[in-house]
Amino acid sequence: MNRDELSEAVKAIIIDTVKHDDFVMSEELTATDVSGWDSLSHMSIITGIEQKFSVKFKLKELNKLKNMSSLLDLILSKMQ
Amino acid sequence: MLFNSIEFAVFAVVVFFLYWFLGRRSGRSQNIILLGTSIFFYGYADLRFLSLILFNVIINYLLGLSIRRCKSESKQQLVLITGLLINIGILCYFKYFNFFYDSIIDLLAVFGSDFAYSSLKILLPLGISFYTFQSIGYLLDIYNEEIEPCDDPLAFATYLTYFPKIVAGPIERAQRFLPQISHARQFDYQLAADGCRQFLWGLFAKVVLANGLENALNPIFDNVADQRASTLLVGAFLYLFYMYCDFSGYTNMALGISKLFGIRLSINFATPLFSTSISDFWRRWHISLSTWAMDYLYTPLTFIFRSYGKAGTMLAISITFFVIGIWHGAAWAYVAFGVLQAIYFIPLVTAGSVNQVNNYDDVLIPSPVHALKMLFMLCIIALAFLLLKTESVSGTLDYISAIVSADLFSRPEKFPGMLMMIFALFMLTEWLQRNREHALDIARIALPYRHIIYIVLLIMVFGLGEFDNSAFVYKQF
Amino acid sequence: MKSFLAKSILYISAILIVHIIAGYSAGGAIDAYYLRFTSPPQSSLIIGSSRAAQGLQPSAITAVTGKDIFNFAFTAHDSPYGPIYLNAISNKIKPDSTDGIFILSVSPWLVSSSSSAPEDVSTFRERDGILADMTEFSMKPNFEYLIKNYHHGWLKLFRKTRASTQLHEDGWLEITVNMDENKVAARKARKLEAYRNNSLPSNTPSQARMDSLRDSIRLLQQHGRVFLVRLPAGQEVLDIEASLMPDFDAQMRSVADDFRLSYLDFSGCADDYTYIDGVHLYKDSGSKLSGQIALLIDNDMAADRASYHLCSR
Repeated sequence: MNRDELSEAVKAIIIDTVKHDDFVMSEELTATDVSGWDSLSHMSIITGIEQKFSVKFKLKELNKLKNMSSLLDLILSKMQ
Repeated sequence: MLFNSIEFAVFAVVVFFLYWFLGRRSGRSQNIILLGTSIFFYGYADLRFLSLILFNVIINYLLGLSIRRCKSESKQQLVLITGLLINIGILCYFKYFNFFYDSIIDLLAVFGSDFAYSSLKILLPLGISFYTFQSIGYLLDIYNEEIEPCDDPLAFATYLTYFPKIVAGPIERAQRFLPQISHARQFDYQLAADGCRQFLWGLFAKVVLANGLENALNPIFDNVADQRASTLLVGAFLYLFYMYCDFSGYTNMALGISKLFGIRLSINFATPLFSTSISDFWRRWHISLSTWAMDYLYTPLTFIFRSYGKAGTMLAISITFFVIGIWHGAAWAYVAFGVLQAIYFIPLVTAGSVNQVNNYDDVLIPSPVHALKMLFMLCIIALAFLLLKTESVSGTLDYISAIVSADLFSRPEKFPGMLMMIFALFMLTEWLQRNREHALDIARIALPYRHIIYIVLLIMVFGLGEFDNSAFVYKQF
Repeated sequence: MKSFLAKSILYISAILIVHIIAGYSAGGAIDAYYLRFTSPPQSSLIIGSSRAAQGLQPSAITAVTGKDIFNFAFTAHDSPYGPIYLNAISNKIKPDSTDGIFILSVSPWLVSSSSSAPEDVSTFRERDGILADMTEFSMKPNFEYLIKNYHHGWLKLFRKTRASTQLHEDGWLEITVNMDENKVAARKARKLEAYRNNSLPSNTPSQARMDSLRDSIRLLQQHGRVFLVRLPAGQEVLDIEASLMPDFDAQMRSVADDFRLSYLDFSGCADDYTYIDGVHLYKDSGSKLSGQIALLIDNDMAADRASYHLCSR
């Protein structure tokens, strides 16, 4: 899976969780750019990603995420 | 020294001049002045426990540095756990010792023990719940590599002891506070003027409304059995309003004072009385506590329980509110308060709408559905707050059963009309200004009108205010 | 910064000026104590708690004795016998006066302490009371009092009369309440409950307070004649007081003997008077009692230490 496909898949998971697609997927996207992506919904998105790509995160890794770019990096590093 | 006392007015003026005239050369001298005056402020209120807060400062400063110095993950974990145990241990000792002691004696009595009850009571050090939570957050942030440990003992001590927030918060984050005091602050007229406005609004809420409501409510709660049901019903809502006026009033005064020194504290209230769901309420009420609980309790817990779906979310919510409940105090009523909050969340969790943000920011008048939701929220929150007021589950049940009676439709007594009218105006202003940091954020209004508003508020504050009520409710938590 | 300071000073001065104007208009309707801190120093005083403050009317006493007397009694919380009240009294007496009359109202509560160390003066309850940190007792307007003890907004300072509680220039606190039988009975029941559940368990007779009573008498005898008075009260209250201090009357008699003064004990005449709550005399009864006491004082001035039949029965 390349980075663009991954990005699309993550986008689908976010849409599934926040129930709208009123945002533009980009490397700089942060949770605050997406209405409804707060600390409550954050974990549902993370769980969705974990299940979809069969990876396991550590809490510390999640805390360090800055934006979509670092999230994609993290997923890719886990998948290798 | 209450924010609404003459002593504090004198103190604030002295600090203001020291800070801007003596301390203007460097951030360091400004911090020295803030630390010195904060220690004076704390010692003036509670000399016995000054050493405890200073111990807290030193130990957390050293723990913060040593977490980062440890090379291996396991050593870091060890230091972190030591730090958490020290902080939580001190808090539990002072806050919960009496509770466990009493509970154990009650329990022994059940088994026929006649163990003599001694009135061994431990006093609660001022602000301990607030500064302990700040310390815990600080250590966790370092461990999670969110921040670097503070290597300036002066700045760190100023962060934990800063007098505008020491009594009852907000619970400040190091990453928000420390950068503001890392350099010399310049006097900013706009910020200082806004601070004065915010302080005035808080003072108004406290001395006119909170103290006025308290005077009206005391005779009712002192003698529940003799009241009309309608009086009790209105009284239950007014107690919630009283809590809001008291705590938001305190917070606005704290934030306002702090702005005079060029330091912005965190927003603690965002018109919670206009919430339309329970998750909405907790996003708006005591925000510095709820976000703290969110970041350091709920998020890790949901992470741990993430594979259990909705049940996991519910479990995380329950534990979080249990902690928020007992954070308020050591009594079964506070546990019940937390449990009740968790129960309120069940419908949201099952419907999957915990995260739904209600958007009514730009409407002048709420739609009937919104209005009904708000009313419903006021009902269930007022119910929960009765637990905080009566401090017992049975007292709350007695109160509610007294409401359900024939004279519920009689005219409520004992609420001064003038006070109710001022409260209505207060709520209207809060509604119209709900998208701003505080309701008196009126810098955009033309000059003469602005000053007319100040003068009207000042007349109400000093003319109608009650300055006797001893303390802010949240000081006791 | 300059503009900020200028505006702040403007607002702060305006607030101060309003408060000063309001302070000048403050009178007997602002609370139950203020005027006792504004009158000039006095040559004759009524001393005691709220029972004396409400029950003893200077005008009725002056009518008989011809001497101006000032009611300087407060509450059982603020003015039990002790160093703080003694200090206040010594500040309130005209320094060079020698022929005054001093009516010291006594009850077991006023010589008892509610702290766990009843002999330790530093634990006395009046330490957080209105007299505790006052230094100025005769100044009008008395801003020290207003700052320390008045906790309402300034609008109330302009109030000239108050229907329920009106403090008079001579220090008498006039209470006007509904004297309907049921209302009186309800107030009495609440009062008795408070005495039984709160006051009685927490109070212990205090030798230190007795010593202060003696010190007060010693001081006042330099300025005139002293009379000890036990005001009448409902029988239930007297019973509670008897369980607090069974030998109270004997102790008072011995004080009276030691100082060669009269102890006027009205506790046997409870039924001659009406009370608003079983304890405090209603104003018509207060006037009657004040006149009776004045007559006794007048006789006592003429004949030395007569024995009295106090009750009208």
